Amino acid sequence: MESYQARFYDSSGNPPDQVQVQVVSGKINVVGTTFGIPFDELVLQVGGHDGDRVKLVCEKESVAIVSEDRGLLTAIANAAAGTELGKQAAQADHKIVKRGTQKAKYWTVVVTSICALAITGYLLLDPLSAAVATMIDPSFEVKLGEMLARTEKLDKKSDSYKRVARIGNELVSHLDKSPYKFQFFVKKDKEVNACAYPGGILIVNSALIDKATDDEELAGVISHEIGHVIHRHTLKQALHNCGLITCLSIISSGVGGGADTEKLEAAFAVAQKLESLNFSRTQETDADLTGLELEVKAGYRGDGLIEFFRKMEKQESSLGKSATPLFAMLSTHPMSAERAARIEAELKRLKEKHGKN
Amino acid sequence: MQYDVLHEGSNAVLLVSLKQGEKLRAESGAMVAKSPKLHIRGKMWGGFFGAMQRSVLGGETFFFQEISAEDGNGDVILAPSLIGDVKVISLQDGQDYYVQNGCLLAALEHVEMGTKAQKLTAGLFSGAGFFVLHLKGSGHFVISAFGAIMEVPIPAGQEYIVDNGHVVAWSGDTEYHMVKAGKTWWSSMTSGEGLACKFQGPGKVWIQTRNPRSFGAWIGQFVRARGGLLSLIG
Repeated sequence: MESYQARFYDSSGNPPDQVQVQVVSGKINVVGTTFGIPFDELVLQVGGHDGDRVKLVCEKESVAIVSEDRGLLTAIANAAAGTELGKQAAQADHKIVKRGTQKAKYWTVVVTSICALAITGYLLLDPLSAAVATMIDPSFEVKLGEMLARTEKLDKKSDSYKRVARIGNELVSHLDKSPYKFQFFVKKDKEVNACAYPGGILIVNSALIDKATDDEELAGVISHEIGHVIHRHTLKQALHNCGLITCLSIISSGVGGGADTEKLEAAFAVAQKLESLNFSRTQETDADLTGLELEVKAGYRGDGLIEFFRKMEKQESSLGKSATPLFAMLSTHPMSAERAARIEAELKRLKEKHGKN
Repeated sequence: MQYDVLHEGSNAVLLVSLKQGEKLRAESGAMVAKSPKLHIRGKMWGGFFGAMQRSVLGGETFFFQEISAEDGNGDVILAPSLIGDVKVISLQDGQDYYVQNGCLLAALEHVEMGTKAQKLTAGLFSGAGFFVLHLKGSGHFVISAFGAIMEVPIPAGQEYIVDNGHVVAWSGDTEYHMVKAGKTWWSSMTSGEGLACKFQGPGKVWIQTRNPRSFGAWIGQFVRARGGLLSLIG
């Protein structure tokens, strides 16, 4: 006679007793006792957290037997075939098997839905941050840029500053109408880098100025950064880093310029340092093309950016890995062959357009 | 190993006397005081993946503290973070219990812990979260709650309804599903109860007499929200 592990609950409310039960001629017997419950006094249920426990409830005696052994169900189904209990046992067995399959399906749906939502959110982030940027007044960008610039120790007197300001202002004078007032600064820093704050504040590191052989190379870098400002890349990328929820909040609450700027500043503060934002390949291309047009209009050769990057790459490889942190610009703005070819093709087109050789 | 709950009620603590060679596991940061001979160290209960599952899915701390009597007998006093009671529950082989995240203060002797996912509706509305702690093995475990803890036996074939946010732990043989607290949706919402957990016997459920979320909401009305990201996304 086969025995099944079970827990026996009585009406006392005490913890259940661990028991063995057997299915014997129309009854469920508790092994080791004289206690047995006739089939016709039992109600069979399936329950427990995972819905895989067999509950045999006898309301007359206010007791219950709970087991996780499906063999008990099979035994009841066979012994009570043709009765209500036998029918309940067969249905319960089917329900437990079905629940196992349903659980797998349920988790597949949950995981797939989460993945789909994450992918949708990721894909929506770029167009959303671009859309949100259009809702933000340029005056906010100017305020944000000025606020950030105040935290930096910037050089506004040296010869390097004068050189950068001269080239920058020359390039800007060939710009069409722009809502931004461009300001150029120099920061004393060993890292060869330059960055554009929102609203038109451009900072060139002293190491970059030292490395630039001539004004052509410096103009290439500065015009590229001007391109980022015009296309509002810093703002868009900061919004991108703030995440989907912030973008949706701005869209729903209609945050623009003026009174709500504090909220945006707080959001940006947690997003990421603006200097370390990585622009997308499309954004880099846009900045290259805009910068190039500006250079050509201002009378520069236009190949300064490519020349400068090639020179830096050579220097970095000759100095070894220890020098890599000093050439951060190379990793954030890699001059791939594809990018260089695109710039050269555009330069050729612009020169033909403007009738230059 | 002997234990005693002192100052039962709002400021309850658990005093455990360990004999040499014995050890217990407790919620991170739960120790109030201990004998010098007892050693305390952070442990990943159930290994790295078990700890990850518990902390990421269950909302529990990644590390539990293990207090062991390696150099001799000693006492340790453990207390939960919240103002409320603690209760010791006996666990015998073959039984299992579910405990809401953050309500497990300590586990004594040979208690095993895992994480189980709840049904979507239960995860969303029960107040216990999407993942709960699953305890089995043998020994005792100690739960803590906000307010007093009531043990409610549910006889076989009977049901019991607990307002969401008040459930602390329940035995593995019982199960619950979400129901509206009133007869109709209108009465459920206007009574302020909304949804509740309907448990099916046989088994036991442990409930806390205060709802931490309701208390948080009550406190919240006196705390002036400041500008910034929270107000932006909130």
